Amino acid sequence: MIAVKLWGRFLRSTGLRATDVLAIVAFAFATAAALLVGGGILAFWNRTLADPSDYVSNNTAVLSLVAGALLLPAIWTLSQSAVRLAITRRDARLAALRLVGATRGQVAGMTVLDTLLQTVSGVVLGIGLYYALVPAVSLLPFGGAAFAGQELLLPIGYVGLVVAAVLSIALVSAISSLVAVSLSPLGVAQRTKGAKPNLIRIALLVVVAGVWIAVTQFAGLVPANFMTEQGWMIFMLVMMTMMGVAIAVIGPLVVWFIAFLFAAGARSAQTLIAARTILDDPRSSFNTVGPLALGVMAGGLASLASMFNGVEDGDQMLTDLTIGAMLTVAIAGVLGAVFAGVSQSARILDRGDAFRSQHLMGMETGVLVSSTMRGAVIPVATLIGTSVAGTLLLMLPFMGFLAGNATPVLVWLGIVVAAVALIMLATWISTLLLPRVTRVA
Amino acid sequence: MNDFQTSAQPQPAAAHPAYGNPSPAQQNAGPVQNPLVADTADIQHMPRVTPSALQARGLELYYGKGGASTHALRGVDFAVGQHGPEAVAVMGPSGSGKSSLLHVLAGILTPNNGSVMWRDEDIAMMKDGARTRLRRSDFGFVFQSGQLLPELSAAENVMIPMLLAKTPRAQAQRRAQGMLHALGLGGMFDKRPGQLSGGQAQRVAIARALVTGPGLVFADEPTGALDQATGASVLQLLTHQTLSRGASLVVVTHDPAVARACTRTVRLEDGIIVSDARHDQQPVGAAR
Ligand SMILES: Nc1ncnc2c1ncn2[C@@H]1O[C@H](COP(=O)(O)OP(=O)(O)OP(=O)(O)O)[C@@H](O)[C@H]1O
Ligand SMILES: [Mg+2]
Repeated sequence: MIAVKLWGRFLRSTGLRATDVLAIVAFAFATAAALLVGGGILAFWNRTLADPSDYVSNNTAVLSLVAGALLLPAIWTLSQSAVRLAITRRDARLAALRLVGATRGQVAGMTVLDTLLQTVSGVVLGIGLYYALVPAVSLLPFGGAAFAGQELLLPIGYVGLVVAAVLSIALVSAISSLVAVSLSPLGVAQRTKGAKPNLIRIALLVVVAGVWIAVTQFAGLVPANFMTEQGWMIFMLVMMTMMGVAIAVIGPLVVWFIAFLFAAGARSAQTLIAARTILDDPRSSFNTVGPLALGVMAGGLASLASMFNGVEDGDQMLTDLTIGAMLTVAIAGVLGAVFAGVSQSARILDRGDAFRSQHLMGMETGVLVSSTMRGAVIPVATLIGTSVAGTLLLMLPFMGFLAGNATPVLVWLGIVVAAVALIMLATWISTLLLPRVTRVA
Repeated sequence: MNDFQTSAQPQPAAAHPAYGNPSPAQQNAGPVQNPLVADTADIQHMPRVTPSALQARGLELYYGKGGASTHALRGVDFAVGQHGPEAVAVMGPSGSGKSSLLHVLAGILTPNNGSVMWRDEDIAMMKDGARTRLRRSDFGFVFQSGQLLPELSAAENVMIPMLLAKTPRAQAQRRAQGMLHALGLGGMFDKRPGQLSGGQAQRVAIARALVTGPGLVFADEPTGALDQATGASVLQLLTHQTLSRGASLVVVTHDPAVARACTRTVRLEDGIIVSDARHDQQPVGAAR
């Protein structure tokens, strides 16, 4: 229990650090997104279970799973970055404790307590955020009728489940990183390099496709005539799965390649530093925009699909599809923005000493700001730009139809623009830390 | 833009004896032995800048306000480079104000009182942005460690100050490589700081400090993180390369061997200069 006392004293003396706040914010958004997506999926499935013969709600329910699968990587990435923030940036104080004679066990105990405190704070905030958002989301008309607020609210038991999941992810990561990291008096050297390839993401998409096929099989819904809504949906799902796999696999490579070109052609220090920073960790850049890029394509295709409106029974489903896709893009955008803000802030705090030296040697803080902004613009512009351009290209043959009903496409474009703006805003907010780290005395 | 004259404020030619033709004043300063001068003189990309003098008077510096403030500098008068390039060691106990003095001289901190005259301007009176640009264009810096950006290669780190000064990239690259070459890092252009040894990293830092042809180089414990032999060779390079380019060097150090390698030693105690002596420059490592 010495660990608890030490920790309490430490907390009082250091107060809330910037990294604590970042970790809590990340945990909060990850939790809120997980609850919202979980609530949405549950609501669709409840509707389906209420009337199993209604194939419209059947398909909507399946699509809600797809949306969930699209968002899960973003939620996962965000909570992982929160855990990393909660653990890594305490090197100095942990090392100091070891130096004054705290045992390994006490230091480990403090780390776990610290992580737990941040996770719990984040989760509590996230639950609050979720309850605050539900009324807004329930305004969206699905299945012809807006959800009643209760429909979207997860039963308390499920909320507990999500909370338990987030907490255990945090704790397991904290403990395993403590095992991996040697807590020597000279410092907690945390390596964050060598992230795994996107196998998890690929596996997830394969599983989703499998589940969808299984569900439709068992429900006896295999289409007799391919160009029905069923056929259209199979087409969509296959397309999306393929795009998902493609993006997950080649996304970081594309980001790497683009950054390489920028580094090779850079004529200013800003661009050179931005490109080299991306090259150093292309996966982090990809994580900011990857899920959004996927969502953008899915949303675009969905808005394209809605031009088939007019088919009697399909109307409702296509409308649902469009709204759901827009919602997915919006959530992916918010998660991407939070991730961008959190990861850029962490990087600035991490690189504080190097940035300060650069400033002492005569680099204006403004140069560091614009290099951080460029570091965000390069992957966003290339990946989101490509997704939008690619999707618009797919729409080209249908432009005639679209002219009559361009609203869904315009809404889609509007949401994409808003999401990109949000990511840039979050990045800009993180640059407010720069004058703080470069300050001399 | 002239390849060799990178000083922000071109000076009258007469005041600027080109490198290789030491002024009479410099010759009087002491028997400066620069055995490598002959080979480095013909390295094509080497910027040449003439000596410039910096003169500080009545420097006072406080950290913090009110009762809890620290009086770090208590009326310091200090001049460097009046009589041609020189290497000044600043020594003194921990907390005596060495780093504070260096920061004030270099326009990093503004003194509460006093003036720092450099090329007809008082640095202490300049605005923040102007001081930042001045540090970049007129001064070079070598710190104990951590001044290289870890994502950039050695050559790119050296290119940064030139890119900030809007030098075309190809030209910046050529000069950076030439400078690294002069510092014995010919094969290291593409290595990143993490792949370099401590001594190599410090040599890259020296290259970055000298590549813009500064008039004055400030170093704060440049060998503090190195073992003795490596430190000695890094210091040898730093003093020699700086002086032979016509610039002066102010180096904060705890190491008497470092001070011996300089041409002058200033002692600071409690924010006051207690001694200031010119002496012969001893080859680094000779004491061992
Ligand atoms: N940022 C700061 N805020 C408050 N006090 C400071 C700050 N920096 C230095 N001081 C104080 O000013 C005095 C001089 O510090 P300075 O860093 O110049 O000493 P130094 O001679 O370089 O010491 P060292 O050899 O340990 O590096 C010390 O009493 C120090 O505590
Ligand atoms: Mg010091």
